[in-house]
Amino acid sequence: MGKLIKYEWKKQRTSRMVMLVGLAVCLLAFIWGLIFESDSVATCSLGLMLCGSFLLLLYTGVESILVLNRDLKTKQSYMLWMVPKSIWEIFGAKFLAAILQMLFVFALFFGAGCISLISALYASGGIRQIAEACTRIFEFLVTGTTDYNKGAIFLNLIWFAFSFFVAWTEVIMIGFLAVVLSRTLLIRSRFAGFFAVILFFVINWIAERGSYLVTQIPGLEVSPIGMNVWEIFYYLIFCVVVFAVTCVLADRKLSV
Amino acid sequence: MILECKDLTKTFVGKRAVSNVNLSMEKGRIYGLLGENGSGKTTWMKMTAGLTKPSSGEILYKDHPLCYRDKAEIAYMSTEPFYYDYMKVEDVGQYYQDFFEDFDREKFNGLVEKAGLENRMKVRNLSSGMGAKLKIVATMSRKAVLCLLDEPLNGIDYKAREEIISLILSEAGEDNTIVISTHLLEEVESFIDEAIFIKSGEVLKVADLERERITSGRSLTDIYMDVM
Repeated sequence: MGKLIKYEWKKQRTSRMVMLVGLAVCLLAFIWGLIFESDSVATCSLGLMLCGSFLLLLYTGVESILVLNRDLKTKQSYMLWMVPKSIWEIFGAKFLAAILQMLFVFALFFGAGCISLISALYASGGIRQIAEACTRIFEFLVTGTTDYNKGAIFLNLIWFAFSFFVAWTEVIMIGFLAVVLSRTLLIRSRFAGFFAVILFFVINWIAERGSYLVTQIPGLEVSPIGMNVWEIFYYLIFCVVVFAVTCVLADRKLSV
Repeated sequence: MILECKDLTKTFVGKRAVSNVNLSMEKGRIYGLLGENGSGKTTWMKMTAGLTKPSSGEILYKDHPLCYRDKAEIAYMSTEPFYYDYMKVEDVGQYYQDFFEDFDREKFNGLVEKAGLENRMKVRNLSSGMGAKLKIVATMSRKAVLCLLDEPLNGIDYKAREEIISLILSEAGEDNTIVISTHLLEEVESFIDEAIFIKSGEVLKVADLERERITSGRSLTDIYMDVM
């Protein structure tokens, strides 16, 4: 499977390069703003990096779905389907490559954030105040209050990240199923891509409906941040089922 | 028996691309799959290569139902270019090496040089003739038991055709079976053992060319004109 992941990883290298260049430009602009005391440049570049981190994390997931759609739409699909690998390995590799891509983007922006923070600390000279401000921001984001417990904040952050990861996984899995369903039902049709988008929203609606029903079970608490345990459990089961359906459908019906 | 198709059918929306095909293929022979464009040659090949799922019927490879593991022994070359855009010639070799145990990298490098290709060439920048050569070089660098070549002579000049044919012939042997789909009868008449005539998705006739020559004195073109 490692080799399959290697080639899936290569398919998104153009977007990685664009991200790297864009981020480098923003980072340099931020440092330039600090050095020459241009608040507008520093603020704009920091804003772009913050917005970019959320948008690009979402985009990387969507792009892996687009890559699958392109794989199935063009003759390049032969490259994957001619190799002696099972459908489970092929889709598993696609999913793992998508996770790696997401982790790469996360690491990229996390690194940029660290560099920005260090630059700001260096430029202002007030290390203690800025460190304290950062802690308060985290505390406010996580608990909504300023009365905090550092351990709880850390746990909440991890829980939030895990919830985000599960939600992101669900989006990818639904996207894969929508594309495979569309390319199976509408083989050779130019409307297959559009149909896949419609299917994506329909399956997503079904997933959300199920999630809503789970939260209606008496005695289940609603989590103040991220999802509660039952929601996580529900989404994980949903992802496994969707992945299995995708693979079985592709194995039995999908023609490239 | 290396390959057997039983009542193989593929239906697309409103059209039967392959209809109740029954075929048997033996080891060590070269088959010509002959028919006009749209006759079902490519669909049959793609089903045999495991790319397209049959609507009904069965494909047996070495007496068991075809499965993904068999792709390790079946080489398929499509008519159209199918390599990833970002690849160079050397990347194609690496890809085959990564996934096919029967791939011979040294042979690939030798054939690349012989075909006038260079490892650093970008696949997307190759001319149609060069692209066709690369596909055949990569496919024939495998020691596949069953080799499916879909229109390998399409859209390429006479000299390149001769090179491709000599390459195919150099790889043909007692241990492997080669199936070539084409509508260029003159190009393949001299070396195919059996001709499979296919029209509108149906196999009309399977002819042993040597036997036909001896018994009726008919050439491949004569049989083609009679059957089709």
